[in-house]
Amino acid sequence: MTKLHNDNHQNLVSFLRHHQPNPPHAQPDLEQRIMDSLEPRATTRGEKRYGKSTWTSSAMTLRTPAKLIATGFLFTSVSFGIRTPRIAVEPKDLENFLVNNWNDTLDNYHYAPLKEAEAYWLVPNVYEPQQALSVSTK
Amino acid sequence: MSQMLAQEQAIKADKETETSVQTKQELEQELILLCQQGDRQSFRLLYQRYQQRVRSTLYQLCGKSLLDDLVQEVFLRAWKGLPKLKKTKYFATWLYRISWNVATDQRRKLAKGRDKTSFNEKSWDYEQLNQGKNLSNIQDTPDLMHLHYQDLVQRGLNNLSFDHRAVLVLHDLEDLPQKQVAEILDVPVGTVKSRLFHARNLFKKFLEQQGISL
Repeated sequence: MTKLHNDNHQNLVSFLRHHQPNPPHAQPDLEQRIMDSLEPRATTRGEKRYGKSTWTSSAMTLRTPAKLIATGFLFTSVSFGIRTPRIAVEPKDLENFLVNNWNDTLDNYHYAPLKEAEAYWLVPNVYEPQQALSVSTK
Repeated sequence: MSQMLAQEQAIKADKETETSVQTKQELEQELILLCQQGDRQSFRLLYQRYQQRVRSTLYQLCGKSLLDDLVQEVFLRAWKGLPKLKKTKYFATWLYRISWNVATDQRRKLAKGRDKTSFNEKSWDYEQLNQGKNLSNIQDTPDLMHLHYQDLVQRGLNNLSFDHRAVLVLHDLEDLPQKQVAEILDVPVGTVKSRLFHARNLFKKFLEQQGISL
């Protein structure tokens, strides 16, 4: 029996590596055959499309915030612009306007006119001092 | 003084080696990225770089028959799957994995065909068998001894189960780390260790039966 080495697996590994059988040479045309058999990359066009759409989407991404900001600004300014004239310059004018309109509405339908005290709740009590919720230490 | 110079030269050599390894890796990454974009010439370069390793692995796993076809199948699958490869630095592992899959598919095909010669025997070339028989009588010449041992290694590999053979080929012959072998075969590292241990023991037993003690 041939005694090759004394060590355990390491000797086996080196024996295997040293004597591993070499594969036979490939046919000369194998490389070209493989290259010719490569499928056309369908994703190449797709990538281009994807690239375009990416560009478009990125452009959209860039444009969208600007659009949103512009829209928000427009909405705010318009809403403020519309609201500003509606604000009563004087609370008394608003009170009179509401009471008169209310009365007119009722008059049209021949209802009894409201008393000032009944219509008072419609008017915001702007001038009434708010009650303190916290207990003062004084 | 001469020691200092030798040390400096060694350090320079190490740095140059590191730089060349980095450059090679960077070049390979670039090639893979170009392949992913559909560049065939880059794929040709990748083929030239890896075909020997793929060929050798497939040869150890499947034998000589249909070897060219199997190599072709591996690279065609690689080309097809490259766009999906996210981590390009694992290209080698991925390619070994494809090789393993191709070898497994081939094995299944042969099993389905109920080929009585079986996968192991089919891969075993008759020329080599005869060569082995002849070589057993002429062990005096060193070159012939080498051929004889090559023959024994081939037969020993064929003697193993497919799983044991795969671990032995990838780890001991292809010199891949256990972790990478585990990734290629999609098994835990512990399984690789266990299979490697058993495969080596079985191989040693086979060699002992052939009159070689390691």
